Amino acid sequence: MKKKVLEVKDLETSFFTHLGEVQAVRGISFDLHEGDVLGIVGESGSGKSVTSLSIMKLIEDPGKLKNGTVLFHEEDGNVVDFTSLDQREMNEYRGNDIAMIFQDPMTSLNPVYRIENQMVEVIRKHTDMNKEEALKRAKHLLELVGIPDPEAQIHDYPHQFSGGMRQRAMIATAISCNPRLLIADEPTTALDVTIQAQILELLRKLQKETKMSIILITHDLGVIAEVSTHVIVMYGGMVMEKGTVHDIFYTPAHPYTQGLHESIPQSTAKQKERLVPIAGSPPDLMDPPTGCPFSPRCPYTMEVCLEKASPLFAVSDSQEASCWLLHEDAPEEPDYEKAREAK
Amino acid sequence: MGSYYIKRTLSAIFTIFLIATITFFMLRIIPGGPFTREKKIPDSILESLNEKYNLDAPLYEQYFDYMKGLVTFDLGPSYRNLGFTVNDMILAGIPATFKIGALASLLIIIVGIPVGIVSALKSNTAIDYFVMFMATLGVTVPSFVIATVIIYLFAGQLGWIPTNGLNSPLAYIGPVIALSGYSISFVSRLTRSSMLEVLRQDYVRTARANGISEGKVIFKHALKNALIPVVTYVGPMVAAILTGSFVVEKIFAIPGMGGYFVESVNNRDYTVVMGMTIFYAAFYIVMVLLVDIGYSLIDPRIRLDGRGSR
Amino acid sequence: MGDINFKKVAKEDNLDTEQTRRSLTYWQDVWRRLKKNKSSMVGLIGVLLIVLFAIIGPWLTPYEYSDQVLDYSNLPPRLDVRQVDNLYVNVTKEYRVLEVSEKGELLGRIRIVYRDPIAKKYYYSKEAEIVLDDSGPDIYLTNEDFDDDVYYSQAYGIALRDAEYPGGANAVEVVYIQPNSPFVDALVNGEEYDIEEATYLKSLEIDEARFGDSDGAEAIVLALDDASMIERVVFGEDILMVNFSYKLMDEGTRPAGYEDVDFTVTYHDVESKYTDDTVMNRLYWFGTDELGRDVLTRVMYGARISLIVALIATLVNFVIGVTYGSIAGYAGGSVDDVMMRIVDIINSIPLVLYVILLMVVLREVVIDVHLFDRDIVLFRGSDGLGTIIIALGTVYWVAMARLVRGQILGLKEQEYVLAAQTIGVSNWKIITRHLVPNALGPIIVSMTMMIPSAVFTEAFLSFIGLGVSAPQASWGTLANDALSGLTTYPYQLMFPASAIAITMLAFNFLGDGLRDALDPRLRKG
Repeated sequence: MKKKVLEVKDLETSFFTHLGEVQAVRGISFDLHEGDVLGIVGESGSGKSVTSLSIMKLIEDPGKLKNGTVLFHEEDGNVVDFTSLDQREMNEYRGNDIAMIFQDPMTSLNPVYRIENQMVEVIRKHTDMNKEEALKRAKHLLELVGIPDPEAQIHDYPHQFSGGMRQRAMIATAISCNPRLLIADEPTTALDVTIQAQILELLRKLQKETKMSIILITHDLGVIAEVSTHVIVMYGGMVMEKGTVHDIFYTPAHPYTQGLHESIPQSTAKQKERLVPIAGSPPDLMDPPTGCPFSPRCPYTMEVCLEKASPLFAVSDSQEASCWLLHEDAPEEPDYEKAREAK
Repeated sequence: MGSYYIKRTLSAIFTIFLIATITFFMLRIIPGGPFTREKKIPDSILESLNEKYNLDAPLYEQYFDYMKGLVTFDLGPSYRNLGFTVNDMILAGIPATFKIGALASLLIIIVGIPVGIVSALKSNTAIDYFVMFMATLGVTVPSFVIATVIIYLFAGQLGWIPTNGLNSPLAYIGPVIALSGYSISFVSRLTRSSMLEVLRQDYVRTARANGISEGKVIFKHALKNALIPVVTYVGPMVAAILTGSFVVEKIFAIPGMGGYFVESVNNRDYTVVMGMTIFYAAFYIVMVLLVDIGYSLIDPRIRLDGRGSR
Repeated sequence: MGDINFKKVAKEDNLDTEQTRRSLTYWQDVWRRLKKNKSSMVGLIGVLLIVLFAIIGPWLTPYEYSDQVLDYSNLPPRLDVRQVDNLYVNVTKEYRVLEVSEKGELLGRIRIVYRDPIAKKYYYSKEAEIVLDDSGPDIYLTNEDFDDDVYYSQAYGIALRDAEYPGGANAVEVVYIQPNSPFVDALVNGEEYDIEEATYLKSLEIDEARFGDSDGAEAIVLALDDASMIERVVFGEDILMVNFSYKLMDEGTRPAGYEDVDFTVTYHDVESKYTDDTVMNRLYWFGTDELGRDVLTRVMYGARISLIVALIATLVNFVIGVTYGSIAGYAGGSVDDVMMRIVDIINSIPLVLYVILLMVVLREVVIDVHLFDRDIVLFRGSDGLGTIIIALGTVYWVAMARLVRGQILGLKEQEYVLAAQTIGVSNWKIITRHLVPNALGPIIVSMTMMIPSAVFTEAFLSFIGLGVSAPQASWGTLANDALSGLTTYPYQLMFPASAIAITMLAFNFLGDGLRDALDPRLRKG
């Protein structure tokens, strides 16, 4: 049995805007084990980014962590609840035990400071190194993430780096203190396709070498398939389905996950076969549906779906999905293909 | 990198030259010439005056003479205050104007920027609302109104400060506040919005995600970026202070350049108007140049691209 | 969990809320967003009220902006009323006594007939002429602190027509001659008089010389270098006796708290020591200025002038800026480079200086044509109004040009422009039909912001003496005129100054709101 790194329980985060409460995350729970790469997938507004920011306690006004616990297991087995820490205490973990990289490398580095300055600052914050040692470490890290000529490049400003190089520098900074957990929030979305592959490859390589756990947040199922070991599918601020990458790709149990598969092109597809989009648009988080958030778009909506969100039902040892269809009293599981053709 | 500064400097010199030329010809096309009075001056006197000031020479010759004078910082004689040169008048006005101007600029920086930062950090609190209310008033109420209210309240009703002149330290309070009121408000608004904008930026979130302490996030990572637009404003601010001084010097009866400028505008003393315009414009352009250079020191993107982003 | 309802929901009942929303046009959307923004609605209402104030206001007052009632000069919006016996009076700061009704309507002035400096008594009478006998006049004012040297409201002086004064036309020396002096009597009788015997009271500079009728009803101000220059005065063609009301004192000499000097009003032997009541000035809601003109009316007319100047200047800026910017942006390449270089140069000049310079040049310009044996003046720079519009209108287009060029540069790459080009639509039509309308949002915002800054600049120029000329007045000139009497009559400055501030606030709020409503970045959200 692998050691746990992170336990998230009943996490709820809302943004209190002047127009009303936006319920971005509505009760999310999951566990993450050492060495796992957990992909969180969902469309924009599904709450995946807010989940990761909530874990890091980086939710800013008017956002608020309403409920839930985030238990972080340290190397020595000590367990801390991030939700009970204040920002100052949290700073000891951020960038140290738990690091994060963001979607847009173009804007995620401070434009007015040299790469050197930004990396050394983080390293010195979390270690006892002096300036020279930290600089040496920074150069080593840049080399590790594949920046050519780190001796010279480290003195550059971010705008002198290309997008891919900036993301590499971001990753180098993130792993500078050997974190147990790296959260990558859409790390490749803003990059060219070829660069995307390189960055994913880099993440995979670093993960193998350092044995750190990764939470990879993306809307791209292809990215998930490439690097993840486990997957959580989110929709409307809730978990729709979770399981191993194999479960999610080969035996999707939730109509939403099935819909996602329908909407991406398959290499095995017959000619002229059309992609099937999921009809409708994501729920208004200001006023989310009472029941299952996917019910307005689901082809199998039942009365119960409108009344109450479904709990997670076990599909197999490793897979769970929140859909009333999986209830033991539910009518026979409909054939998804048939339903689609009927439309 | 050096070529950027050289280019900017040359362009500034060219602009000053252009302004001098335009100003010269604008004031030469005024009908009647500089000695036209309500009451006609006898032709013989007019002729001798024109000869004395070389006004009967062809226009291009006068222009070259003027430009020659300009290169040696000689702005010619005043046509109204006989016996005085424009240089005399500028030099007489400089001490007072620059003293209140420098104090006002200082006040803008040491009050406007911190107030803006506090307001941004305490956004949507009572402090913020109060500061922004005052700042909105400050940018909507003209400086002459601020000045007169100061005189009415603090000089007239309360008798705390003198109404005119610069003869005691207290006398500086009125003109400096009147002169800086608009810019303090503007700078604090600008700093606030810029700071709020920067605090929303990804790199601030990155710094937080890397465990950088809140103080460092704000004063190292956010502030330097937030000050970029503020620094950009400093150039025009100097102009606002100089031109604002026209009014403030008039109201507080300060013997400064602004007062002389307004006086010579009203007296139709064209050489003084011309000389002072060129002086103001040159000063403004030099300030903007200095600001641009300062700006390139803060923002590395400007320096290396070799061009301004404005 | 026994009663879970697994009945399938029909698709029609499960309509997606998103798809049922009515779609709005761009401008409907902008209006909806603008309505949501409280401060911008306040701004919009404010702007509408100011415009109404300027357009309709002057029709509603019984006065013209140039109507002068010298008896009622410098009256505040609220009058101190004393009841003495059955008479209600207001004593002004210049010790004029005005009869008022209980409610605050002005009924007329009770003229001063005699000053007794020794007894510190001023005598007033409702009759035109009274004879001072032992019984004394009806009304008199007593005050221990009366100081004849300072508190004169009415003075006599002499003026020389066409006098040459070295300080220029605006600096005029005034000589106050004590009334009831033999000098005045001599003047009234048209006799010669040795000026040395005239009591020389005080001389001070005032801003403007006003030559009026020689009968002395109009204020006429003396233009003299030094009172002692005139040795003998002959009342005739060139020398006029003048009767003028003047500012009581210049600020420097006014003792602090002088307004509180209390005095006793006596009428029919009834004494009144203190003010009984403060009532609204029913005739002049905002009070009157130093020439007895209604401040409210003048502020309303000032609104017209200020807003007309701002509006026309903004429109001129709009036309020049949009034309220049769209040509530069659409042409691109070297045309754009050259045009933008010019804009850069203009931008590096402090524009207020150039407005001033233009004003200086333009005010000397007179354009007239000779038609049907008559000279028709098309443009007279010294009127100020046209001059200020031209000066503001031709200088501030640079920002607009930059903005429009930036917009056009982005827009001209859009497919619909390419489509229009491929079907052979002319460049001019592409600019006017496709590009400018799509850049209209930011253009409108910048125009909304330009109006208050034009009001501001106009006020500034008027304040330094380059504005519209008397008797017309903008808010800036009103503020400038009120400046000299500030400590005594602060309301004269307060009203035009508040008008400027309110206008600035309203337009700024509206502009901010419009920017938020039109901002394409926010449109996504």
